[in-house]
Amino acid sequence: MAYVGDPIELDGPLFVAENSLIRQSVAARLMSLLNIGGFGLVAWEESSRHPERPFVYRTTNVPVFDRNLKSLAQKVHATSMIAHIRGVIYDPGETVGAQNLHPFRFRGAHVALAQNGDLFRFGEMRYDLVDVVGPELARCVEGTTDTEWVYALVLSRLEDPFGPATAEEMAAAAEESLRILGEVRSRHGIETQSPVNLVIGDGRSLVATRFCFDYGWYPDDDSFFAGEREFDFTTLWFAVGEGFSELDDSWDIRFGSSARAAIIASEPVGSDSIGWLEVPEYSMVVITRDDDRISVDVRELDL
Amino acid sequence: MSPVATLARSELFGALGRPVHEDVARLMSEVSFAAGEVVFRQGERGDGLILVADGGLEALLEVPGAPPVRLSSIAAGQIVGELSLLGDGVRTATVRAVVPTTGWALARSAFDVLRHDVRPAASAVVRAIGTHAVQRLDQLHRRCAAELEGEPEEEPLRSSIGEVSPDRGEVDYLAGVLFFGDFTRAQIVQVTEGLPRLAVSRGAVLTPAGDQPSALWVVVRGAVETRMRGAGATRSLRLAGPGRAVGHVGLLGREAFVARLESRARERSILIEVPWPRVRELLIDDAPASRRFAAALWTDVVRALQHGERPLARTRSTTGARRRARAGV
Repeated sequence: MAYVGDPIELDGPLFVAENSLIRQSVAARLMSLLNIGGFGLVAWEESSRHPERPFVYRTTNVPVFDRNLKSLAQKVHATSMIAHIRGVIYDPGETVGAQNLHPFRFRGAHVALAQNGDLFRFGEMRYDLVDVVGPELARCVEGTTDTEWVYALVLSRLEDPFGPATAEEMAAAAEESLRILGEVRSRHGIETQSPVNLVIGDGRSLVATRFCFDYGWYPDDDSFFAGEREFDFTTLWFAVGEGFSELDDSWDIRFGSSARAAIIASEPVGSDSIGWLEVPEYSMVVITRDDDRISVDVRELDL
Repeated sequence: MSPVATLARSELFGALGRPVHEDVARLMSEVSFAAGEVVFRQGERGDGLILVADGGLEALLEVPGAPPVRLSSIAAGQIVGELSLLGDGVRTATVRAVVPTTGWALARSAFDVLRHDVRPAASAVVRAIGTHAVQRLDQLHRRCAAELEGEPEEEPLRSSIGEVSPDRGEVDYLAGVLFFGDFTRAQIVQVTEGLPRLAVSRGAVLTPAGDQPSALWVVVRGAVETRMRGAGATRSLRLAGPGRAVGHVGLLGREAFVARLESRARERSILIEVPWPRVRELLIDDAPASRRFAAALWTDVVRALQHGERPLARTRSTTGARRRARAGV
């Protein structure tokens, strides 16, 4: 989930909304797994000291029981945030730990990234990426996830990997990264469905992809992904409004004459999907905030 | 009024005959709504239909930040929410009682009992809903085409389509995908035996804009997108992954609206090609495998309609710009 716009209390999208992110971790409408691999949040507040530095919170606990997170969310306001619930396959081979929690943000970097996705046979691709991202960024990778490498790859496509980036620069970096990942997959003969829904932000702009490599080519094994059929192209939605607030005991988008706030999520967070738009498959949404006004551009990803 | 009598006067199911009405009526439960009461709310997941016996309902489109827009009225003898018997979509409008209203509800869970049994009543109801859905799909295409302006840029042909042999283990695989999910393995063989399997490269155009689909295709692996393109904008209508069909409008014959409508492989794909004469044969044949095929196809039409009616953001096409950038123009 990601937000950019006028300051909001984080409690709304994280806890209060009928289909809040925290609720999605245990009862997602468009996903069949419990997402219990941990929770992460980066949030920016432009009136704070050093507004380019986000507030960061990560926990491997199941966030629905996290009183610290709840009380912080009721207090902290943000003009932008990326929050992520990590879903992992129920397998002892998975590494659940703080180093694997999204959103990723290397020390000193302006740009952060989270992913809903899974690059099939990523272990075979990892070392190809070392050369592409370069030693400075490769050294920053601490965890075992594919996402942290995708993050390093995206940063490596920016003119200054640790500096500020415009929305267009982040969008170009995301598209170029997907193209490189496609080439690496081809080199290794990897032709199995691999969703890559990225959300990238720097506190001012958001870029999100709804993309999948080799959609419709399920793995020929007994894994979770071999059996996942109904929502097999990972979803992505967004809503733009005057703001977000509690209406009739429900936190949701508030519409009006101006566009001052935007939210991106894998599924609508309110009681229904009224006012939300689904991002088409194979596309990217670019949301920018200039002079408190939100603009949105949805563009095709035809790689 | 009894459910049988109400079904007999309904627009959608009236022609199905008394035996079908009696089978369906056994699954229905009586409902009543006070004036102003909400029957379904837009955006909720659909779980059944309402047949109005007496009174009247109205369908309202809820628009953020504005009063609801009245779409239609549903009078005695009319049905609302019928797509939810076959599809998994959400309600596309809020339905509210205008006056005190009574009717009969048919829950999806109850109808599933009939449907999985492939009883004639279920086949008849599924066909009625599917036929209605394919007409609505056609209307959706007309509306989408009207919203697009200008001619799209030419896209380079980068495609190949060739016939391949069925994979070993194909039947077991097909038994796990949507279209064939209710078939027995023997029924899958009966329906698919002898039909061509096509290997289609990414980008291959199955049906160019303006052409009628030359066949119905069931996606085995990969994905085919049906979309409409205008100048610089694209409206995706359906991404058909494994176990979904492509080319539904061919069910309408030459009446189908096909301007701007194109289907192309979004991924390299394996498809089963079902020629239209074979489709028509399967739709009227009474053998269990044929009835399974008919039910699967009509259900898939509903899914395609629901997919097309999603509140989807329109995408800006970047293909031409990228090609020009690569060429240094």
